[in-house]
Amino acid sequence: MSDKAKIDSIDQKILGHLSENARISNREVAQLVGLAEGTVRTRIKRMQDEKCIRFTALTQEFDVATPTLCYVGLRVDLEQLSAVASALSDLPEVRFVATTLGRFDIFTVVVVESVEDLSQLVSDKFMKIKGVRRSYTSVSTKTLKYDYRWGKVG
Amino acid sequence: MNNLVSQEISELDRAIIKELKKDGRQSAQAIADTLDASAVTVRGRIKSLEDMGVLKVIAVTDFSAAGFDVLVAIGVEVERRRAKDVGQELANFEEVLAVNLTTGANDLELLVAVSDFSTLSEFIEHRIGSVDGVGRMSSAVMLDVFKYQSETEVVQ
Repeated sequence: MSDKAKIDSIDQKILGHLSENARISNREVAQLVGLAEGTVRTRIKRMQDEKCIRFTALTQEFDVATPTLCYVGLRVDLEQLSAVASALSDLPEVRFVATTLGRFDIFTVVVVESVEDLSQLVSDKFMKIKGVRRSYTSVSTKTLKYDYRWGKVG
Repeated sequence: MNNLVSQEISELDRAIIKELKKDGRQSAQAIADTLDASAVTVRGRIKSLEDMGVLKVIAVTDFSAAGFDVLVAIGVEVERRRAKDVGQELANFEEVLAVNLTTGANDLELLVAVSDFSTLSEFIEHRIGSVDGVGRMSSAVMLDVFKYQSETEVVQ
């Protein structure tokens, strides 16, 4: 994980503005952080080239009428760990997948329409993946915080 | 709310959003060229969607590039206090990237990001541990993140 290029404090200043609004021009960013426009442009390009950042659009869920965020933890046969994680990543309802150490072997976050859909997703799709032994589900009733500034890039 | 919003979103809006999800900083002209629309229209639609509060174009920084090499999903059992109050207090910590109220064995589900394990240990003991109402915690330390699709906000 740590072979990735790091960002420095000047990069952080630039990103402080771009993580709020990425549509502002290099000139505006330059004025806000007190740097030359060329410096801002070069730094943004480097961060993009090194896959430290990406620019994207944050939206609400349009296509699911009643989006329900759920957590599904899995116990799996360990020799199938990566294969199961890859298979889960291919499912559109699954928004987050990580192999983990501790209470689960794989931790996922899914978005479904209803609790019935959750149960169907888990029993018809998750449990049918070779190597999955047991699932633990939990439904989010309210999001108190979600910090969109960080994620996985590249 | 979501149904209402989805009625106001046109096909063109969806196409613009799709382009912005790919590259949020491409120019209105570039989007217009791809979609065979005018730059003025594209610029106007982006502004309306932003004003409606359904679109926010942002920079996402990689965990690792930001120095967060340890990610942990922590489930929290809350004792003798409202889970929501405890969750709101935990949400104040920079290291806590997400807090959700949940059904099931745990009352709260947290996503915590720190630079290394010694920081994690200190954070859990001195910060999370100092919050009144935090009971048993169970964690899952992320080894390898296969998918992290964070562009859609689930409004609850």
